[in-house]
Amino acid sequence: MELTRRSLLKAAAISSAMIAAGCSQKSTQEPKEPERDPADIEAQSIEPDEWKTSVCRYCGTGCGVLVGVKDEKVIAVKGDPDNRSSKGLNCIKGYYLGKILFGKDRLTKPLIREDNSKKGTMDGFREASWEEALDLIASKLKEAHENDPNSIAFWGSGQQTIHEGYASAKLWKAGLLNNNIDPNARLCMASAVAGFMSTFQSDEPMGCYDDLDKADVFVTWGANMAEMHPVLYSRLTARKLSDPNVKHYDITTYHTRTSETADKVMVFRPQTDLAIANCIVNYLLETESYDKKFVDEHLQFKAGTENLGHSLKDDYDQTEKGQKADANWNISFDEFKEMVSTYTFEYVSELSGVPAADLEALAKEFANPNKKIMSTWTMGVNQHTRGTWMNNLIYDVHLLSGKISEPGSGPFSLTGQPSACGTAREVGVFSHRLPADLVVSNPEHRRFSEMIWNLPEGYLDAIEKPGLHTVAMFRELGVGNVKFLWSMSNNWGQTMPKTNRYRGIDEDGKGVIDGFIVVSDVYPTRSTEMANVVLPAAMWVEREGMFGNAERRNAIFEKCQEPPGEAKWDLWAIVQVAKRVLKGKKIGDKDAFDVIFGKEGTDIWDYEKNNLIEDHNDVCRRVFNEYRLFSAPHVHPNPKVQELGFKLKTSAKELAPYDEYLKQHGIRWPVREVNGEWMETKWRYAHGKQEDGFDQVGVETFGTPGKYKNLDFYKSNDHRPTVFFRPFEDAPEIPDEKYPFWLCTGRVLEHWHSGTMTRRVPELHRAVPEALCEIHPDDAKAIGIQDMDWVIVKSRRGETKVKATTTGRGKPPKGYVFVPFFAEETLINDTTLDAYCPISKQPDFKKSAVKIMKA
Amino acid sequence: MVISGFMLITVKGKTETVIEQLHKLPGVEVHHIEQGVKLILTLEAPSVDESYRVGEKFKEIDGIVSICLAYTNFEDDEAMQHQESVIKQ
Repeated sequence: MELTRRSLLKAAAISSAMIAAGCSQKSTQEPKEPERDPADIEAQSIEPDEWKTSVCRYCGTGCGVLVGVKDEKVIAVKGDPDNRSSKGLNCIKGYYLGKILFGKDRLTKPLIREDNSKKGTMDGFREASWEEALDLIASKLKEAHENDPNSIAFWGSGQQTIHEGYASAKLWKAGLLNNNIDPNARLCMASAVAGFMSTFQSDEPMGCYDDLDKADVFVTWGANMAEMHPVLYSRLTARKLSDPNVKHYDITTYHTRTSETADKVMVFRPQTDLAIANCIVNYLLETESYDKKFVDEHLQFKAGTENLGHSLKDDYDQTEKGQKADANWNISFDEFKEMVSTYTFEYVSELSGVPAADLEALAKEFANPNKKIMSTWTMGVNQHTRGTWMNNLIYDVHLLSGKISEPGSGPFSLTGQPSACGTAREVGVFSHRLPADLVVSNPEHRRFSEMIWNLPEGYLDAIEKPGLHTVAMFRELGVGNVKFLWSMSNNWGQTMPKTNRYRGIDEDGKGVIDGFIVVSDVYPTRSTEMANVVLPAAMWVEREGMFGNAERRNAIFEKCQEPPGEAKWDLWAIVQVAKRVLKGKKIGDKDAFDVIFGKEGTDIWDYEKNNLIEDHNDVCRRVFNEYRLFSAPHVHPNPKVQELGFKLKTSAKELAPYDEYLKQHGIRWPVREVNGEWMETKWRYAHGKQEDGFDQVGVETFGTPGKYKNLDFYKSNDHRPTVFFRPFEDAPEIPDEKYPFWLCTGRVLEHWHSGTMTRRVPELHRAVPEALCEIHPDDAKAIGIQDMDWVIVKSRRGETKVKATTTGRGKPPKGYVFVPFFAEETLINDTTLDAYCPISKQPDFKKSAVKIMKA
Repeated sequence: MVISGFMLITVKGKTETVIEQLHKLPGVEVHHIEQGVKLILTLEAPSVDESYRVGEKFKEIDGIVSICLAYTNFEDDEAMQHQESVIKQ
């Protein structure tokens, strides 16, 4: 490498790191001057042709990155200092943002299965043209839909872009009048959604990442942030370092990397987090240290159906308990106090195994009116057969102590996928939802959607009943009732619990073999093995898109290079299938395709070329302009939309015009136009200046300024969020003599979910080449195994062979093992249980009973 | 050559020993210290994989609180482009 070029590259690297560190360029040491002729420098410019705006492809943190493009190739990546979520920082996985594009086995041609007997392997396929693959998909979809509308299903993803999620939901719900569409976010965020909706009647958090820089106390509930959200964890640890009085309580079922830096680690028996939250609530009430004025002005109290049982059988949702699982009713404060009074420190300590003194210490933090407390949680709380209840209970603690919606204080639900919030939740790619917090079961919500989608009044009444949620969808596929499935940006063949059933091995899963399955993906996976047609997809910056992260920030990533071979944008495939399957159909007196994606609707079809409009930016802009009307009804020309939108308060989630997202490098909703500038909201429901990040416009539009703590929860019923009584109820499967261990599954730092991308990066693969079963040394000794011995993890559903370790990053307590799910050759989900939260329908991957045997 | 820029945060009082350890790693140069705890450094390595390998060693150094990758240019790394076989498929 020429010295001049090297020096310049180093200067650029220094400059980016300086910006990330928040220091001004002037105070820095000037990089060395190039030592060669300036003409050489000119000739060997190190600058890419263009730096394009983007966001990271991996987790839900949503770090901003700038992608350097030269000669239409990605050549560099740097942190985006203008992205307010990450401020120029990326974790070390940023190295592999570029590399995930270039795996040697990228899917580049459509594949059609010729030999169904080889389902479950990548054998039995032949290459096909897109035309043939699309025609086949459309004919199978049409056939199944005409024979039985309930026999079709679409499984989406928190890794689809907002545009792709919107297009798939619109095709399914409006085009095919079918609610059998659900995302893989059902496996990770559904309990958070149900918790938000039941407590606040509004999805997504009050606060934002800025709270990490301001809190006095951090409480991690079932969240290994150090490995799963490293950039956010850096902010947490930086805050701790800035003030020795800042405390961190880690509430967890086993000792993780996050526990290493916590001040107090509270290891509890699985499922008893329900009791722990209740004992904090009880303490606040018993000692009258709750925020009384907050209770008087802002809260209401409710109880709900109890003794819910467990959704182990396919008909659970139709049982009396299943039908009434989300029923609730108002109770008085005194009734609530009485209900929660059994949760004393002593009782909960006995139940959970956490010392009473530790429980009391944590409760006292919440009782201190001068402490700002931030709670964060992820899968430990959400993947839980009482996941909705756990979310409700964390809100109970924060609401009763008045610690919410203020800088540095609030409950913050972390997300795992890059657009679980933006796509799955905000767009509403769920079997019961429509965009902007609207639901299919509400007639006014359907009327509003019909007007925006240019559908005849009453047209969406056909979808008033929610469709199949994820577990039900795959159970129905297993028994042969779902005959057509299209999955996109996910890997159900590896990540569904009780995989043996959904890979067609168990007797009640044979329908998977007979069903017609389409899988859109970028690499071969355990799900493409189950496909009848595989569609090769463009990934990350091979197309334009938008992700929405955990703190309500939407950010665009621009297209930077072409996908390899014949890989195509998923949105293109959706629209092409729509064109074929809607052919000859009418909506009212208009052509159905024209209404859904053509000139009477989204208008993304180029009629001259008979194809999707070629320019990605143009397509995305048009899709977004329509989607935005859901949350900005006041800009719709129809006064009826404006009126109903105002009544439904959909602008509580207001989005800005598309270009603003490029200009500002991501914006947190609700976004408000104030004096000609589009301003984001950091703390929802908190009245204060919009330019300071408070929800001024929202409170003044829908609420009353000047209430206690300047808060008005204007989306909640009666402007009062609910404090729920949610009791402790035990897990569906508890270790016993035959299966004496708890099994918890999860992720590791190096690998993203099912490893489809990260295992194709040799260094990440080398760092963690295989899944290991973490086990307590005493248990290992009792079983007679040494480190790296093979063991069989066996449950009532199946067994998995895996090597054991007592020296991994996690330190499980006795009677407990942890196995990650990233390794496709170690299908730990063969052993997990598909019981789900009766309200959110999210399965519990954290608690199965297993035995461990030397292999 | 792949060149990267990092911002590391160190524990107060351990910054100097962290810098000493960093200088033992191949291709690492510390250019600036901000607020006594933030280190600005560059890393030069022949490939992205080697860069990652060295970056991973930062974790083993006592006194580093967080590691943030701010910049990486991999134009010279042939592995960072679609392989001919993939393009032609």
